[in-house]
Amino acid sequence: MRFEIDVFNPSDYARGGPVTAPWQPIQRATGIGANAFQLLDGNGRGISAQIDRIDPADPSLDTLVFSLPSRVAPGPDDYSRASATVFLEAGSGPRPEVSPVPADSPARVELSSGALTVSLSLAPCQDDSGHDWFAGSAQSVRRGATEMLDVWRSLLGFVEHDPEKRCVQIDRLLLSQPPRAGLPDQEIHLHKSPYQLVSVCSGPIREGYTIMSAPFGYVYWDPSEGSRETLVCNFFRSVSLYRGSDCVVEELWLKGTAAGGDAESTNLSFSARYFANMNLGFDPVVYRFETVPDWFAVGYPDGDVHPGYGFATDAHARHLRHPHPGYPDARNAYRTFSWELHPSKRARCLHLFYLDGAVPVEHRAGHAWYEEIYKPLRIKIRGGRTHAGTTGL
Amino acid sequence: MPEQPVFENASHAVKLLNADEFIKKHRSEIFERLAGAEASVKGMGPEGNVVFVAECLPFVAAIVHVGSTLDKFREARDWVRGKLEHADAVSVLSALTFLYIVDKGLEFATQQNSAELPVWQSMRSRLESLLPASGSAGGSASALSAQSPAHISVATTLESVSAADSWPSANQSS
Repeated sequence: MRFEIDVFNPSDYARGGPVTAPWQPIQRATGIGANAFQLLDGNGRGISAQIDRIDPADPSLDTLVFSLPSRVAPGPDDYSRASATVFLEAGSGPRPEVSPVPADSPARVELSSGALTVSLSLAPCQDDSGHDWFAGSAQSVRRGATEMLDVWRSLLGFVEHDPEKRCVQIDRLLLSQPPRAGLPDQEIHLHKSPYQLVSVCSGPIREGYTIMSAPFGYVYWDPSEGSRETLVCNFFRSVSLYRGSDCVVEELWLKGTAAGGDAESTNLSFSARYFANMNLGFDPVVYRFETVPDWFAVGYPDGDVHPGYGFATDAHARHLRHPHPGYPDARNAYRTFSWELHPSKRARCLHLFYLDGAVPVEHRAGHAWYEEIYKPLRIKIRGGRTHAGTTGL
Repeated sequence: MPEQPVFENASHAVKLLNADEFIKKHRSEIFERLAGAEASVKGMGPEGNVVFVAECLPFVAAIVHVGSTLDKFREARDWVRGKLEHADAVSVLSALTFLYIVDKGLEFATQQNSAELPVWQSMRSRLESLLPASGSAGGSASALSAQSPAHISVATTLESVSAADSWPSANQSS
């Protein structure tokens, strides 16, 4: 049996590219399994697709990812009218890949899109330096031979890169308490604790990893019991890189389970702080609109080399601190940046790595926010619910 | 022969940047890279002069960013802005640093009677041909400026740098 899936383009211009949607609702509606389906366009041609098993312990996070073979027509921005239709059927066509769960957690993993290669540290330290504050950071982001985190030294080619360079690091979580609890917000420092690899996702559209922090305790006030309780928590990050893309996309969530009990886990609210140490030049320019706290960009518009970085999120970001306050190496503090997300139970974030593009970095970042975060392409099984472009956390 | 004012200003800019030690320390690596760019434009005629500069400026910008510090860079940038209000101060500092590197490279190679001498001479000749005050090599930067974005960028920068001829003496300003 063939099922029709409507594709919704909320923009007033034709769009193509990748589409993501939670897989479980589709599976329930169609009865088609993740290992035996094919997606087809209107001419019966196969569409590249994959199923990402974000967290093997939680099938509700399984995600369908496919790439539209061509751009689809503009549509209303409220997703009220479909712009195209693709077809889903059981079959042995181009089989989506479900990667096995790794047996051992490595010290680092590498993502590559063809355009960008990102080396993500799971361990706090990658060498014998004793510098153990790199957990969860990308210590290298390369475009071809150029190290995007240390562009100037990379351009020279004869001096060593800054060993402190890193980005995409969440160094601290803030877990809040209800006002009547009389407890301070709890700070969790993540940069010195190893992450564990939870899953590997790889297919024709993107590759990614889900990593999980070491467990930590969260003491909270239970108003129903009138007592303090402790949850054992793990912070999760699902990091993806689409083929050909220069943007890293990630989803964040915090899972808590009652200590010592068999209770089901629950997603908790958190506020994550990002930290980066990347050389974007002396006195780079920050582009951020106070009224649109969902994205910002840092660029270097003057001179002959134009490195840049863009960030976008659906959780709102507070103002960018540059340099990061209290950074111990005052001479190089100008390379440091930090920013905090508003509290949320889930956050989808995008990191753009830019060098000398035809379009300025602030335009790229704003557009990436619009297409990837704010108004993604959506799909709906005909007669079913519309599915946003997230993992459905 | 007295030094042209633009080279005096180049020397002053590098002094403000405090990048001279870095340049001296990495003289051979810098020469190797510039000589590679020089070799790649051999036989291209006047067009090659602009291509050479356009090829080298990002590399020189990297020298500025690695060889200087934030405080020193700000000092040098403010000095340029004080003299050339509307110029891209970062590009001007790179161009001045480039002039300094070639000037000092030529001076060193001359003193040493080094095999590098003809390469430094050729590089200096290419740079001078693009400075409006020149004319010996048959054209200023502006004569080539309509050809591509890179040409326009190089021409604009070198014309700004050449305006240093009308700057007050570097020794009187900081």
